Amino acid sequence: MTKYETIIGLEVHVELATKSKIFCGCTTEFGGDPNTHCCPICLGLPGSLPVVNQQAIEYAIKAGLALNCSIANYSKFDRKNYFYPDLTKAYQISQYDQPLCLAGHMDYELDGQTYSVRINRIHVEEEAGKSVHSGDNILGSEFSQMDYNRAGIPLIEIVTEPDIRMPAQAKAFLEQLKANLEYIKVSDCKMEQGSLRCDANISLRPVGSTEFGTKVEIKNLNSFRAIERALEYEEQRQAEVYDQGGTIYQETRTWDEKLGVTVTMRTKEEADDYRYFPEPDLPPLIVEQSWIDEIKATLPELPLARKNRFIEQYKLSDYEASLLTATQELADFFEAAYQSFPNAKELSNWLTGEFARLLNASNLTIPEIPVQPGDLAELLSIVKDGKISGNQGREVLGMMFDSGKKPAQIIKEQGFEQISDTKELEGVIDQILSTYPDEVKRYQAGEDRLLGFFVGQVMKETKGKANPGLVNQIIRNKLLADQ
Amino acid sequence: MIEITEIKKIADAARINLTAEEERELQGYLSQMLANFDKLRSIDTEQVAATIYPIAVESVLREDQVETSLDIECVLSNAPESVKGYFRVPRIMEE
Repeated sequence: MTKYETIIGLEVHVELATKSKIFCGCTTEFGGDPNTHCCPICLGLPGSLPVVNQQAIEYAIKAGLALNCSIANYSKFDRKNYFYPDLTKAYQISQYDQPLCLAGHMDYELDGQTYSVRINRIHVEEEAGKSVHSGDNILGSEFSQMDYNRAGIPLIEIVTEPDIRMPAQAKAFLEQLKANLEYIKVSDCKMEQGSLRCDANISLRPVGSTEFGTKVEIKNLNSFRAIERALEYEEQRQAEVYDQGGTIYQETRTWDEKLGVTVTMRTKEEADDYRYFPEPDLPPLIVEQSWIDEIKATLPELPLARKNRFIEQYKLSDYEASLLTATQELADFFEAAYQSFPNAKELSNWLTGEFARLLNASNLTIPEIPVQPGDLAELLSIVKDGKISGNQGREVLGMMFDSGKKPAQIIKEQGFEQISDTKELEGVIDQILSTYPDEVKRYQAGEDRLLGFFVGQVMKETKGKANPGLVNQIIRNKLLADQ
Repeated sequence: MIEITEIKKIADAARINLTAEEERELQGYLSQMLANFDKLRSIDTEQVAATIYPIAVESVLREDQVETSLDIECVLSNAPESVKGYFRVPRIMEE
């Protein structure tokens, strides 16, 4: 399949994490009874006037800066006109020819390779309402029920240049984009709640050609997996059409998740003419350089850069560093704990192992748990010093999650303090060995596995507090010395 | 003179049904209007910035504060039809 080169460009819609809508004070909270987050402005009632939410602009600028865009000091809003019941005004307030962010790029990795995708633009617009169809799907419904709670939630649309060459790259790009946007906290990026959505443009051209083939737009892509599958399907479909001497027509296709196929939604001839014109209700948006600089100063180190720094600075593997930098909270936690427990490997094992398991089970996020980075560092130091075993350490961590108590306190309360006093252990061991003379003889005759039996007896006697490594060593020495 | 096919297209975009007589009537009006614009276009505006906004106001922004929304009865009072708190509208996709 190297006859054709695949060209993919993406349009990503992201809901911004403001508290109120973009042009009015209605809440942006997800859910709620239908049409209870509505007011004259987002319902488009006559005489109402939109006013731009400053936070939405700030988030959009932040996203633009994170994607290396230049921020326009002058941009404006436009009306995109179309008749569809998800719009209350029969137009959507968007940005057409003078968007807020222009000409950026974003790097991502796939299979150890770094790729860069140019960002054409990012514009700000309002979210449309949501239709609940009565039939099985959009094509089969008799009538539609409209909920305008979502109408007016601030959105950015990120438009890439056609720089992606494989469906797997599209998925990897989107995963990186999502991670970046989550890091800078401009959106919760929940695909299942629709706060991050993607349309894809795909065309094929003969290898070596510099002209683009006719592109097809795919909509209704509800997961990263769906995007990859839909693009793979479409890549195959277009190749077959060209192989048979056919023509690809410019059209919009919808992805049918159940059947795993794309289906024609509308062709170019039926395409809407949006008749954009400047929004007279909103003055132009002037963004001072000082504001942009202020926002720039709040940008955190982005995940890819942070991951590479983790590999370099802490000598972690690519995999470990990816896991640790998956969220900003976890990466911050790691770096804070490292201050008091500078063993990156061990720390990483705990954070991506037991800590991650407990966090997952608790259904909480890192800022919500009572365990502080210093607490984990303290616990790991205690384990490392052999005062308690690794297993006990995991148990203590669980209790730290539940109670918020400090590790030292839990260890004391639970009587976990490990016996590492050789004299004390020798006393117990001598007693055990004299209780089982036959087993001692069998061990000395070569039944090595009996060592475990003795260790077990010592642990039982000490209620699990004996340092198992030390017990092992003492028993072995004693039994071999006796021979 | 603007073509009748163009009139049909505009009417379709605006979702209005026109009789053949109305189409011809509008053809006259719109042609006249376009002729006026042609006259305007003959003026040299090379050095003049486009006037989009009638008044000089820039960047009016509001704080991100949640305010009380309307009661659902009020929201639906203008709905042609409603069901379970939703606006009910004819099915969306066209044939």
